[in-house]
Amino acid sequence: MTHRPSDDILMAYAAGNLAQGPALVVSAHLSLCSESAQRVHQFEAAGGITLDDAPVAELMSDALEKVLAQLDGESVRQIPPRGRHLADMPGGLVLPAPLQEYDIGKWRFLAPGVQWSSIGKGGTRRNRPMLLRSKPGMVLPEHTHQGVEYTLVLKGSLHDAIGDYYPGDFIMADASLEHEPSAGPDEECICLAAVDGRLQMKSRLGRLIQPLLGF
Amino acid sequence: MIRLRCICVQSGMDDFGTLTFGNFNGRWLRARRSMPKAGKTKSAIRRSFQAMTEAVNYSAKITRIAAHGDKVAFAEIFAYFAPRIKGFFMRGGMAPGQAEELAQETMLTVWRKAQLFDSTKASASTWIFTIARNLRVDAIRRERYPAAHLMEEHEPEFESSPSDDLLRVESEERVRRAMRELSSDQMNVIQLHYFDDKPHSEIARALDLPLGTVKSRLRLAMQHLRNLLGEE
Repeated sequence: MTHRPSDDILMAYAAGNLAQGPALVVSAHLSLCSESAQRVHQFEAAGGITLDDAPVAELMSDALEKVLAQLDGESVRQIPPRGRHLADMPGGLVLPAPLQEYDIGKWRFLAPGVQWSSIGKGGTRRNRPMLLRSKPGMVLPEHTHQGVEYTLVLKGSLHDAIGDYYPGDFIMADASLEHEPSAGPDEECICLAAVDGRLQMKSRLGRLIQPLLGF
Repeated sequence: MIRLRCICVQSGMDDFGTLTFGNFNGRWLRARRSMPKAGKTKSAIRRSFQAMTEAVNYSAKITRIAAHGDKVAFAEIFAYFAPRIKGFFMRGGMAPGQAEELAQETMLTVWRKAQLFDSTKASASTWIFTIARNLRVDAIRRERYPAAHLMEEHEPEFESSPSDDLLRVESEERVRRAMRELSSDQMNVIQLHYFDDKPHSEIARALDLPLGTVKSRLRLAMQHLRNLLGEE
């Protein structure tokens, strides 16, 4: 895999400090990229070490008893319910496992040749992740960033000034980039995207749809 | 003592860094001193041996909970981890009452999910850390953190082979070694920025350093860690 999240992002993810949308994009990437998953595991091990080294704060004297009293009669495994998926996935695309438990809305118009679908209900609206679906060769709406945009290619390909991205590839665009990716010419492109911070659409069209998206 | 530390954190006193992280640095310095080259004293050897056997034992205890619902094993895990989990939450700025509650909930989750623990995939500390981390996110943001791979509620889509599992165990040992190689200053900023989620400005205030120094120290610390871990 060519395009992976930086160690800074993976460390923040392992420490539990990414907002839900970006964390979901990283989590979906990890299910497709064993190198990144291995790295996160290393950083989680660093978390284990910080736990070993945490200052000892004694609990209330009855804490153990209270917990012991709750041990019996609980089921061990709670599998999160599967979300309702209203958007159809073309070409038998199976969404990465971490997306399965989220509700996914219908495809909606975003720009000519580009549709979007909202994921889940949690978190603040502007940080909520979404799926983007673009016809071959279409340019995704131009926007400038006040925050950071996280994108994961799930199907087809994306291309920008920096590189070419294929399924499993992770793209991070921050405020310094004017990011204008386009879908590859041969196949439609589906990607998962989330914004950490505010996103401002630059084009007139963007300004029109911005209120709809709640950015 | 702990209560006092927490008050310091909340009131942003100058000795925040030394009081809160004194223990942490001390542990690291001791760990560094107990490294093979540094001239082993008997107690250092005993400590490093203890550290190794502790890790092994807690894994075995979780396995005993999974296999037999062993409450004695649970009580032993509780005695070691629960106060550290509470301390970990408080160091991140959580109020003592909530830290107590969440530490208890973390331990309850250890019991309930013991059957999902796989000692070939993670050490006890790492696994319990991920439970504590997820519960902290749930509690603070009231949303579920999309990170569950050590819980195996989601299987990764790539198959992990026995050699991958071996790699994972070696890799965790490599992290331990790498983190011992970092200076305590470097360790401290990684700790504060990532695990305690403190913004650069707050770290600068706590350590009485210019903002630029904090940023460059963090960058160098991550670079150093990356070099020590090696590229996969």
